[in-house]
Amino acid sequence: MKLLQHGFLAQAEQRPEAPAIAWKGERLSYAGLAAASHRIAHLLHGLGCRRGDRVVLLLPKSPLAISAMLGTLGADCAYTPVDLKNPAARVAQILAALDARVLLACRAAEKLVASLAAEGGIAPSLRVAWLDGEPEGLPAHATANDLARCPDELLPTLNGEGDLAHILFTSGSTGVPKGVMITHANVIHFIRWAIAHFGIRAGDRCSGHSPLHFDLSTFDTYGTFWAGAELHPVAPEMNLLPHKLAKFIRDAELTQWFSVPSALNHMAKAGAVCEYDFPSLRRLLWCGEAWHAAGLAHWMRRLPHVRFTNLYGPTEATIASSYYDVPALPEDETRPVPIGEPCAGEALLVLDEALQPVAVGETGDLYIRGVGLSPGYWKDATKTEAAFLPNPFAEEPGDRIYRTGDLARFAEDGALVLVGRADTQIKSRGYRIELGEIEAVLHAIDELEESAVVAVESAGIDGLAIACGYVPREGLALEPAELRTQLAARLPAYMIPSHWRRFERLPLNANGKVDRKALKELFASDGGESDRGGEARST
Amino acid sequence: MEKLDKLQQQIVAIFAERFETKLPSEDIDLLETGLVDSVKIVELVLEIEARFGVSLPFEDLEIEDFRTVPKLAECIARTAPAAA
Repeated sequence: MKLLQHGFLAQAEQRPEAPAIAWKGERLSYAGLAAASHRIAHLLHGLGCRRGDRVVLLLPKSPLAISAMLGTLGADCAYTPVDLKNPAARVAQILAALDARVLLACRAAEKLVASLAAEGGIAPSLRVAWLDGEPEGLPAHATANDLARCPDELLPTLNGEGDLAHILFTSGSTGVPKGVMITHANVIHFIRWAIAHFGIRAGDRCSGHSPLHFDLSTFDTYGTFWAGAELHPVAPEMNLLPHKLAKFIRDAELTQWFSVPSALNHMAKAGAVCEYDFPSLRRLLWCGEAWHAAGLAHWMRRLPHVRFTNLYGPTEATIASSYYDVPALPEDETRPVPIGEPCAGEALLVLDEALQPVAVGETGDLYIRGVGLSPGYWKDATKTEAAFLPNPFAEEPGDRIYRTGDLARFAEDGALVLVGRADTQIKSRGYRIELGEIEAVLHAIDELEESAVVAVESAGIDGLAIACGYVPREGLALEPAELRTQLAARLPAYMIPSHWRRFERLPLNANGKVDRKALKELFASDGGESDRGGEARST
Repeated sequence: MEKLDKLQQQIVAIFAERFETKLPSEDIDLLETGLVDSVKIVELVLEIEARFGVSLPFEDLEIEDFRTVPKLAECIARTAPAAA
């Protein structure tokens, strides 16, 4: 089984009637999902897709979106799921960067596709296929009727394990999102390890909490299917009300939960989890950002029957590279939860500037080596070379290490602990955000003289909030609401600063650069509250 | 009807004042667009409680109540008739 769809197809062959996906009260069998994905593979083939072509998915989380992912793989192509909340300008950037062959859309994406078409974001070479309905006045090279006529049989494939399965876009510091290339082998290696390590099997009911454009969702989807288990995708709006989310876990009798910690904190803070809640739950896994020990302890005290595991790893190293099975309730709730030890086939190195290992207890840059490493960033040799370095300890040529940008140290007991970032990338509610990308968009706004973005601790928000200090061009009274509107045309909602402050000039350090530390302190002295009245203050 | 309109105006005002956001229209889908997310929903509920002197227990709220400004106004009026 060398391709990502193979483990799924094997289950469809052996247990065709077993449930693959539970969604809004309905169940879709392995055979049903396989048939739906084969139709999409044929549709893509009919639209001219050939081995190695890129397919962009503008589909909300649903069984349809998952069949489109599998169908794209079945057509020997690589897919990129794109969040429908993105502004059209950002989707256009991704489509152009990928030189995508097909855009798979559905009714929910009509407005977005209309904006894309209006803004010239649909290249003449791009085919647009609608998987449900037939919109009027929009490009449509195929519709639901064409899909229904496609055969539901397996299409022969030519791909090998080193070919791309998907390209996932993350925030890029220069203002353009970066496409991380992920091969079939990258994902297969991780899910094989995870299924064995966690004992995932048929009969398990696994959460699908992460959005499909996030790397974590590939574990939800393929980890579940390779094990022959049942995937329970969580509708994104479920996150809004913590009691609903907890009820979902309870009612679905989930046996495995996997998410970013902010979703768990959200439920805890709302008091939505009671003692011995979720009696079916066996495993609770988190990834994507650090979970403070106090938050973990809150959950561990209530769910003594559950195994808790911290997974760590950036998208560039595929899902996770290390794990920490929490042995017991943390004794000291002020200490960070370790990221643990490497998953099979991976190595985590803490190195100094000369790429030499640092002593135990000393902080260094965290590098990852191993089979999970992405081939690099899509069509960006410069960024790839900067982040993926030749392994200085290599015995074989081509051996690489990935610079995560995380700072880490080995504790006395050998556990690896994260201590911060070497750059301005932040995690806010699980979203990975390069502050530089927000600044790049701000710098393109004519009415602004100067601007800088920093991350600040915030009372109401889990993790960090984004704060923007700005100086309007002379004579202009530029309100935060106006800047928000301009940013919203280029950036997804989660990247838009929630704290604003107008300055006559930004604080500078001795080198004449913006003093980010001082700027942070100014926001912190506001008590971490957003600028409610909208009145502009200056220093 | 008039009372509901007034509630709607006040909700639009909360978005403008509290979130620095001008809603392009009253029937915009607040959830699809991300204008209401898991953080803002908490602030929004607290702000509504403070402004209207009502109590909106999270357990009793439905996700669909937050879909649009009119739906939110209906929810407030239903939960706490005194507000409208």
